[in-house]
Amino acid sequence: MRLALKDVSIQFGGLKVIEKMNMNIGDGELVGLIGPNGAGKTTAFNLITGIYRPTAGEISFEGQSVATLKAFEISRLGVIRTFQNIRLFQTLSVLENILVSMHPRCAYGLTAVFSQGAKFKVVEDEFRADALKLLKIFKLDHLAAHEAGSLPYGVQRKIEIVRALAGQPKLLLLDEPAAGMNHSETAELMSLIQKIRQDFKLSVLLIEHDMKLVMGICERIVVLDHGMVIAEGGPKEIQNNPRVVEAYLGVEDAT
Amino acid sequence: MRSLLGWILVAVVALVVSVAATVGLNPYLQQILFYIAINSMLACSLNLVNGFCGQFSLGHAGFMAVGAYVSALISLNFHPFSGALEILNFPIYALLAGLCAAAAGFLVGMPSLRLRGDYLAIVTLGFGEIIRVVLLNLEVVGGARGLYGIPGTIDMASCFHAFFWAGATVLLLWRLIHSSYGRSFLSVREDEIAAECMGIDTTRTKVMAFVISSFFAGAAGSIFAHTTNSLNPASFQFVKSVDVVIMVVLGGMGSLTGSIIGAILVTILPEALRPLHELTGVDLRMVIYSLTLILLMILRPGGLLGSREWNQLWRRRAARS
Repeated sequence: MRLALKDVSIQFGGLKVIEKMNMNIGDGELVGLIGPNGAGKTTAFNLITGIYRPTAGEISFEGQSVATLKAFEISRLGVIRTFQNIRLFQTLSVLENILVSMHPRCAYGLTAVFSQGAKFKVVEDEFRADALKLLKIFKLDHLAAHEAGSLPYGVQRKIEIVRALAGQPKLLLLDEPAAGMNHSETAELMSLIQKIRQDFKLSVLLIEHDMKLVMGICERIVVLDHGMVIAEGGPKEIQNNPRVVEAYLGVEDAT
Repeated sequence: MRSLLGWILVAVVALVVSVAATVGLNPYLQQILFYIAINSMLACSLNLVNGFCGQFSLGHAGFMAVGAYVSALISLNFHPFSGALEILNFPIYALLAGLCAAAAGFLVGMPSLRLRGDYLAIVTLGFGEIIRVVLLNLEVVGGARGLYGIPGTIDMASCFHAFFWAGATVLLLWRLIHSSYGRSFLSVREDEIAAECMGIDTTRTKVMAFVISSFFAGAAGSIFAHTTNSLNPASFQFVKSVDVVIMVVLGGMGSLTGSIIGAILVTILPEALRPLHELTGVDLRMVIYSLTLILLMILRPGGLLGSREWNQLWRRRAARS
């Protein structure tokens, strides 16, 4: 079991955004988290990555409790995310964006920086080569020197995924990776997500509104509504679950 | 080899400047040259925090004051070298001054940089004033009278010392920002939450930048103390901090080259306008000085160089690599 949420709740003032959420993600699983707008999906991501602290409940990653860790510590354990509203380092180049998430495993200290020691050069070259290799997988290597903020939306989304991968995640959290993409881009993204999951041996949890993507690649789907898990299961089960239909479409009037 | 090359360059520049200064310039111009070295150090180091790390520090004069007074006090009581080797004392003073200022930076930065937002500006503004008022009331450092008789002369050796420090500041900061640490500074500036989620310890990163910045401000203070030979709390008023901020903003936030240009301009401009005062009989210096700044900000809101460095000047947009 990689990630386990046990009775996790968070409230802001009187507003209970997530209530007693239970969710498990196993090794190499690809899980979808869906639900209507305002259901608490992104809040769940913020809880898992340590941006928010749960008001109650327990979150553990690979057996270790992470609810009290800071965001950067959780990230260094291997839980890395992308953002719904793209949060690239806008004025940095694409390459620099990738290099930033490699910083936690930077092996040289300030003395090596100031003296430009041998280690500095070795690590920098290695980082750059690794970053370019990652960019190549996504066919983005020709954009390495471009300013990240100046690139098209869909490309920025992909760069965010590469940036997350550069941090060597064990669990990758994707917040609406296909938002703003057209059909062919989404189809490409689907195969890409499956490919990186296999190549990097990742578990993936993704929030997505594009049902074709979710139903197409997720082995298991968790449905949130009003902060509560209302259903969990395979794509087929979820599609036929009356509570899910109700959450999305409402109930038919009895009269 | 690469390491050595930078130092050789710094030494050569310092040597050329100091020889030219002692041969060709009168004491007044020499003094201005010293101020350019000092202000370059201040501007470049402040740029690390304000420009590269995206925080807003308003207390650089405070750290400079710490360095200046520490250096002055040490030099009045302690000379490891004497006679012909006397000049070798000054790097030691500057180093100790820098370390004390860095310690002050750590104490100020540690609590205030844990928070996001403008708290640093308020805290550093307060710190600068506290330092000044403490110096004003501390009898050991002469109170309002200040400290006098601080050793140091304006000659070729001291000029070399000042410019070597200025060059070293630029060189070391340059290396820092072109490293993984430098990228972590930039990531904090761009998006603190995203940086944190990519495993960057943002608090540690900000404190690191702040402490390094304070170190060089302290060293600059030391050089200042041994150039003026007297210190007075009035030299370290809030306006001094603002001056350094102006240099940084004028040159371009996030450009060391810009900071040097900003430092040179802000140092020279008021002096260059002095003849105008004599000519017209009215002191228009500050009026023109402020107008120039306003105009520059309207025409080039990102500062003279934006975030570009000398080697990227021909690029329209700074494509970083």
